[in-house]
Parts: sequence; structure tokens; C-alpha cells
Amino acid sequence: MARERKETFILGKELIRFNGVSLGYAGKVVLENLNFSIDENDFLGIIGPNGCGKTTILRSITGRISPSAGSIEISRKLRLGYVIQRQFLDEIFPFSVRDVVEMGRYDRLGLFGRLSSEDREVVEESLDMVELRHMMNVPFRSLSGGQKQRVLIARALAFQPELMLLDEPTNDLDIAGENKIMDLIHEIHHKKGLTVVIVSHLLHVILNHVEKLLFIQDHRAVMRSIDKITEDGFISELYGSRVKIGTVGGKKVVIAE
Amino acid sequence: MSLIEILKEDFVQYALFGSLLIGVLCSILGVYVILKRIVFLGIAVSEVSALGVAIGLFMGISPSLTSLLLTMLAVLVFWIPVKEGSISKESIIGFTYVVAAALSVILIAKNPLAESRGLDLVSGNLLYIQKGDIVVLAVVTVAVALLQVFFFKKFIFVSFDPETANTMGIRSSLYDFLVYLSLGLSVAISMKVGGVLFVFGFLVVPALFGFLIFRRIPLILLGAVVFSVVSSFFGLLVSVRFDWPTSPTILTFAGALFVAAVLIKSVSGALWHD
Repeated sequence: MARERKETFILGKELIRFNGVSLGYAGKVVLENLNFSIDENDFLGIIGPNGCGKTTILRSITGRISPSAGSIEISRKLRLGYVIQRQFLDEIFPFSVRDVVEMGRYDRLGLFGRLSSEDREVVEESLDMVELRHMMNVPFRSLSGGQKQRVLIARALAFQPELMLLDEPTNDLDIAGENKIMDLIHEIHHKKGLTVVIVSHLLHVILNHVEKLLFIQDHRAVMRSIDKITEDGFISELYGSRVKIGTVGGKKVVIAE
Repeated sequence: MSLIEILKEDFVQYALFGSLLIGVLCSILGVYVILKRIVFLGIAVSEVSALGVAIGLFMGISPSLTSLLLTMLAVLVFWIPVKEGSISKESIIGFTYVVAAALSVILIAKNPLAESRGLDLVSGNLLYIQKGDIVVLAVVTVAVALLQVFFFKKFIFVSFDPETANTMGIRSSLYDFLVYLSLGLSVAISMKVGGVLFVFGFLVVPALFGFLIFRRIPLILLGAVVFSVVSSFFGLLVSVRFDWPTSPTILTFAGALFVAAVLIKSVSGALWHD
């Protein structure tokens, strides 16, 4: 069986295709037989409990880990913008906000590591997008969790990606912070027409924004469009307890009975 | 003997060049050692390098060569990312330090020719530095400085966030390896003349000064380099003037300078807030 991550020309609107992919670490299988694709302009949420392998899927897309079975086809030269979990970043680094966002342009650095005027423009536009241009000289480590998240999103935008991958961007934020970050991601997807894949363990946070959901449970993945997850019993069966999707003020809410 | 007279002596000039070059090399890499939180690795690699010298002396072959080979091997092993199980990477580094130190002592003790140089492995002997050593140090310093000039931003990005850097088109493992390679090469070349104490000290103290005073990494690097130059120059003069052991004197001078900087910063900070 093929075991590879290959860059290829994929026909149609598909950017990434998982063909019977198994993923794991050190001989231990985390996910089995993944079959799904990510299309242009998708807004996909990957949802599941902590430790189920959501980040592993992102890492297989970025090439950090290879499939133990099956193959991942990726549209050639696809530019991937990555928003890492901010808790993974060490605050000993004395960066300004601008320093962090400029990293999104480092693949284009000229001789002696100089940024061009175009690079600087893109950095400032990215900061505008996340509404933090006025804080560009502020130390990154002094920011709040939500502001840091915005900076990391701006860094990914500065890379000018075709597909943006976000790993738990609302972790450890309060409800207002969660909403602001999700509204920003929503806006980026719609205004820039950017394909977005977001990983979260909180269904209620991403429910009103994403258009498709990939549910991870017991080493397997099930893809559903957002309109179809309200089907009788689907969510309850997935979570192993009585869970309903209701509507309050026009917004979907998750209710555990 | 006046300071001018001291500086006119050939051996003092050689020692000065040597300590300045080691200072510049180690202070640049020390900033990475602190940022990457691998300070303990700094002393372990220095000790492995000392073991390399001891092996070379014991076997009657070039101690520089054995030191270089063993140091690069250690750096390669520590660079390889491993998933930590029940034994952490830090404890393996500690183990390496202890075993390398113990073996060095045994090899020196059992080698009459090397025994007279036993102390050198720890505290070095800058006053015996040869022209050839200075040339090698200068070549390595230029190479490390050039790598910094061309790839500084990428080194910093992959040290901060290797996963994102890799996804965004920067080959993290390559640039990370270049940082470790620079560290191994610099420690191995500096160890022979500076000794474990001097090399480790200059990996830590100048960089600490840089972090204490400045808030931007290029300035931290510059501050660390200037600090190492000042410490080397005045520490060496004090050492020759009062006939104190060279490397420990330079390090003590550097330590005193750092403590003074901490006090000045604390007092000025307190006054500022008042």
C-alpha cells in the first residue's frame, strides 16, 4: 500500500486529498483509514476530544509526519499558512509584534536577510486585517492571549497562503475572546476567499462559522456538511451521550441533555 | 610593569587576540544557547570537548582533532530531535557531562605527559596560545559571523517556532543544524586554549548581559559581543598585572561587570519608578 505525502496536480477544486490514510507516532496508530478532501474555499472544522489526533492531521498536511498507510495528495506548490497553538511558543524571545508578523515573509528574504518594501507593505496590511497595526512595536510577550492569537494569524496572512491551518486558536480564551477570534477567521475566509481548516475540541465555538466538519472519534473520521449534523442521533452517537444541536437567536447551540 | 608595557609583550598580544576571538564566538552562540534554553548543553559539550583533548593526549594524536570529532559527534546526537520517554533529554545531557568529566580526569591522571596539562582542560591557559590557534579561531569566527549575517532571521525563526517555519518554506532542521554546528565547532576550537570554564562562562555571561540591557535580539547580540570584548581585554590585563590565572580572572571580571550592570539597572529602575 502506498505510504506517502506527495505534491501533485489534483483535478478540479480539490487542494488536498486523503486516500485511506493512517497516522501515528512510534508505531502507535492514532488515526485509521482517513478518506476526505479539502476543496478550494472550504471552511473546514476538525473536531474531537483532546488527544484524538486533530493536530496530527494538521501535521500530516504540513509534512511534519508521514502516513503509516495510504497517501496524501497535495496540490502542487500549495502555500500553507500555519497558526500554531500559541502556548507552544516560548516567551523568552523578545520579539515585537512586527518581528513576529515579518516571519511570514522570511521565505522571500533577500541577501543579508533584508525585507523588501513590498514585504513591509504586506506585513502592515496583515496587521490591519487583525486590527493590530497600532501595536506593531509592542513586545509580543506582553500581549493578551487573544492579541497574541491575532498576531499569529497576521503572520500566517503575511505569508499570503492559499490554505490557512489553525490549531486550537481559541484555547484558553474567555467567551468574548473566542467570539472575536472566530469572527476574525470568519471574516478572513469570506473577504479574502481563503480556504481555512481549523482544529478545535470545542464544537460550540466553531459551529456557527465552519461549513464542513470532520469529526474524529475512536481513531476514525467522519465528514459532514454543517447543515447535516443536526440529523437525528448523529451527534449523540458520536459523543456517546445525549447531545442536541438547537437554535437560539438564529445561532446554533450545543445542548447536552 | 605599566599597562602599555604589558600590552607590548607578544604572548600578551596573542592571548588578547585569542580571548577576544573566543569571546566573540561564544557570546554570539551564547545568545542562542539562552534563547533555546540549552545552557546545560553548553557545559556538557564543553566537557565532551575537554574529553576529546584528553583522549588525544592519551593516545598521542592531535588533541585538536579528537576534540573536534568528539564535540561534533556530541552536537549531532543532541541536535537530533527525540521524543522524550521516561528519560528526558536534559538528564542525558547531565549524564554525558558527568561521564565526560570523569573520563577526562582518569585519562589525564594516567598520562604523565598530559598530567601537567590537566588543569588546562578546566581553566585553560590563554597565555600559551600559539599563532596557529589564533588563525584557526579567526577562520571559525569569520565563518560563524558570516552565517549570522546571511541567515540570522531564519536561525531565530526556527529557534522560536520550527514547526511554522518549516510549513512556511524555511528548512527548520537545516538551519537548526547550522546553529548546532556553529556551537560545536566554536566550543571545540575554543576549548583547547580557553578551557571548559572559560568557554562555558563566555557562552552564558555575555549573553545574559545582552538580555539584561537590551530588548531586541540584534542589540542583544551586539551587547554580548561588546561585553565579551571589554571583559577579555581588562580581565587579561588584570591577570597579567597581578599574575593571576588568566581564564578565571577574565571570567571573574566578566561576572563582576555583570553584577554591576544588574545593580545599576536595579537602582536606576527603582529611581525611575520613584
